[in-house]
Amino acid sequence: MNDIIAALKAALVAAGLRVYDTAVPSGTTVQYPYVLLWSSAGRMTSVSVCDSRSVLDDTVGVTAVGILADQVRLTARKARSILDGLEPGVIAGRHVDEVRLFDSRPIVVDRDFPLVGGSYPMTGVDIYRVSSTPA
Amino acid sequence: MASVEFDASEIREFTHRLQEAGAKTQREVKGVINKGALNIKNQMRKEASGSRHFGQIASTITYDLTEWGAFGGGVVEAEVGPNKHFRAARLGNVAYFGTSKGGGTLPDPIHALEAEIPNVERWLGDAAEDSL
Repeated sequence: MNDIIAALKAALVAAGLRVYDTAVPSGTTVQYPYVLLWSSAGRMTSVSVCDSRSVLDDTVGVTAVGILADQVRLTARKARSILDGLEPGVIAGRHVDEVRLFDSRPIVVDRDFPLVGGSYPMTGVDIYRVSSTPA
Repeated sequence: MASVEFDASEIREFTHRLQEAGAKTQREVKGVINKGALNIKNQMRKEASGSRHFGQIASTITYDLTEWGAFGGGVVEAEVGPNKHFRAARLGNVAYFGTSKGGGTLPDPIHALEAEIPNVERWLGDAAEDSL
């Protein structure tokens, strides 16, 4: 999963997006907008006849964070243009299938992290399906 | 002048049987969806209860079954997830989808749903066979 996340992050960074893996590192002075890329450690699902789980079938969350809702929408749209339909090919010995946008959550205000000036950041989460099999 | 007569008794009997089967199927489908939703709820509760930060939402995860009909057909729906009637359920969005500083930490509920699909499909097939 590490390699897949690294590939997705590289694609987003190459498009000019600011990307953090899983969380914004503590002590970071963030600049908006940015994107959080998060997932499980890799959900292996298929049990083959020899009882080994070889198929990765997981979801990757992409949280677009901005100061205003339209900034969130623009950032999410840019991330979608990169990720939805992306065909990573073979990564670290595994064939990664086409990445697909699967679900989108409504944009919400994050009142846990107030901004200087009293407003709050906004987030919009897109969920992508990611799967891979041994190449 | 020629005349033709039809014996429609078997067709009427078949129609009656289909109508009865429809009502029975609706009941059985409701049972299947109820069982599937219960399993999804249990899986989501199990996942939440293992969370260090979001264990408190486990007991708020419930499901609602809705049944309605239109144009002679019936629809059975189940909605599973943290029930907002409980205060702790308000953490559900953060637990599943994270905040502006970090991503979600509980497994996406879609995995619990997808794990249950083969069971529900099998039970629906059995119900359809039994009803005719």
